[in-house]
Amino acid sequence: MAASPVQQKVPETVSWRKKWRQQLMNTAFIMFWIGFPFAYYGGVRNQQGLIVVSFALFFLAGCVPLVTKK
Amino acid sequence: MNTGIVLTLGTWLLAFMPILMLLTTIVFFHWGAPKAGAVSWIVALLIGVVAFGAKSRLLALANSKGMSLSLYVLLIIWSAVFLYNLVDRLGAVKVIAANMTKVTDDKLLQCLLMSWCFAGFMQGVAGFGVPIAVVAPIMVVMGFRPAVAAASCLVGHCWSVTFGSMGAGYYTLQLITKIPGEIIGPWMAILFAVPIVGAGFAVAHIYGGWAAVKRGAPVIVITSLAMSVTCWFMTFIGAAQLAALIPGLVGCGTLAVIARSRLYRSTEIAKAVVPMGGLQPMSFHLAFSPYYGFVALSVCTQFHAVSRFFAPLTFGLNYPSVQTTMGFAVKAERLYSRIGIAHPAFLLLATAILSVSIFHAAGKWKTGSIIGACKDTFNQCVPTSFGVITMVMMALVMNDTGMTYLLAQGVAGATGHFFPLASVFIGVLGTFLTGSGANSNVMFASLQVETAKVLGISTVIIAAVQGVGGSIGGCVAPAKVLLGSTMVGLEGRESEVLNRTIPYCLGIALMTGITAWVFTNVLFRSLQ
Repeated sequence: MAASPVQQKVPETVSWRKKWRQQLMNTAFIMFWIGFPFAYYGGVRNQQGLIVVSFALFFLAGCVPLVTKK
Repeated sequence: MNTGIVLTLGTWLLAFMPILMLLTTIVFFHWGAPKAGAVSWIVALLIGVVAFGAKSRLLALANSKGMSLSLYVLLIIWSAVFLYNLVDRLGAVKVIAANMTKVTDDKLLQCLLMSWCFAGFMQGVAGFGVPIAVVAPIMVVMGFRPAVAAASCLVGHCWSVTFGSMGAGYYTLQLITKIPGEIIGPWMAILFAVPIVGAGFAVAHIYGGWAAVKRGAPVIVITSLAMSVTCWFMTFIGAAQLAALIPGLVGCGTLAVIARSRLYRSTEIAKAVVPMGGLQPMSFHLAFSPYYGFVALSVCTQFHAVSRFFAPLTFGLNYPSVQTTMGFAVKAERLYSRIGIAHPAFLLLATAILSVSIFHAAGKWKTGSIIGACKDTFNQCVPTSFGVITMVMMALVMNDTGMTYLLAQGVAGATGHFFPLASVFIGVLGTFLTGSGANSNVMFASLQVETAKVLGISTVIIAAVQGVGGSIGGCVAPAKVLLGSTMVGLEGRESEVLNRTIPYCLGIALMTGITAWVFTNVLFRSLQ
């Protein structure tokens, strides 16, 4: 069978880093605000559990612009 | 008082690492504010733990303080951008701009009016590059060369950055330095007289060289005087959130009056005033009504009876005192970063509600404007907010672990009594790095104040110099230069614009630095 004269375009693969950046940035932004009360109450009451949760949330949120692409 | 770790070259360099990281990633790797801010914050945390004896509790509290401070600043940013987007969607921004162009036919005065006064007004209203995005393309349509339009807007609005965005940068400075607004505000306004005059002459020079400077001198001097006095008055009455908006308007008015005088009536007439968008869908006063409303509400909150009535609605968090293992003590805070009814965000939202009613009543309401404005605001503000949060947290971690204090000790030792001269350039550097006067204040205000304390010079003047330097840096911030270049069709030729703005930025900063040196070492030596 003859090949079609119209060249088929190879779809460009968009990296997940670029594709999901907007959504991940929005999620990270929300994570900062979720981490805020954990950091505050953890610090004021000196509760390590809350402090660890706050660090985990802040750190994950902070990593988003590092692993995604504009 | 135990001040923590001992100052050596090694410890100073370690304390400088987060700032160096921010500088390197933005300038050399061209990273955006969110990425650079996140890395610098993580570096600050690591150095805090490893070298400065910070425990997890202290760091959690520093992060929480960073979030408290971010909340304060972001509320202003989000509500200011929302109000601007709402007004823009209703077509009012174009009407305001079009009316500005009708004021005079003289091209030099048009250039001054648009890029110096109206851009300053726009910065007062919205900020974050909006003056450049709105005014520069209008100037191109009016017949100005693209590079001239972009450069004059960038330089022309640099006097209004710190008091702009409804005072976002000013409030940040006040929060970080803990110097009350009624003290620091008027001092900042006095120092801002230098950038106001300097920006006026710089715009004239960008437009037409020394001939334009000579011809424009009378109008620039008179308008500068009117703007400077208004700026000081707004801070004096406690309405600093209007100290760019109102002087911008006063500048437009003064220019309009002078344009009708014999001095400027017949020379260098423009061929035609370009109609902005053809038919005007609404009157100027209707288009401007949201900002009339905002001014009225801001004035209302200055009355003691009003502020006393709403006083119980003040919100703020209390923080306990903590200490690093090296002995650096952090004081307890009560109602940290307090948010009351006079906070600009509430006034802006009240203004937005008022505007909806006014535009409805006038039959100019467009369905879907609120949802559209919300979407635009969310998309515009998330990346900015991300940068603000990470940089504020970095600044607070540096502050509470004693890094900022150590840096200040080092800078004070190196510059001595010439520090006021260096101080303004530190402010410029902050805005150059972060693209925001508010972020510059977050990064360097503590450092500046601590250095002033070590040197025994006025902390108030140095804090004010930081605010002014942060404002001046707005004309060379790559983010804004990129925006200006894109808006006037000079994509990929940003260096043409940046090369024009750098000399004016350095000149205005130097003049401000000299003024600050005279203030701290000659005129007001006893001021704390």
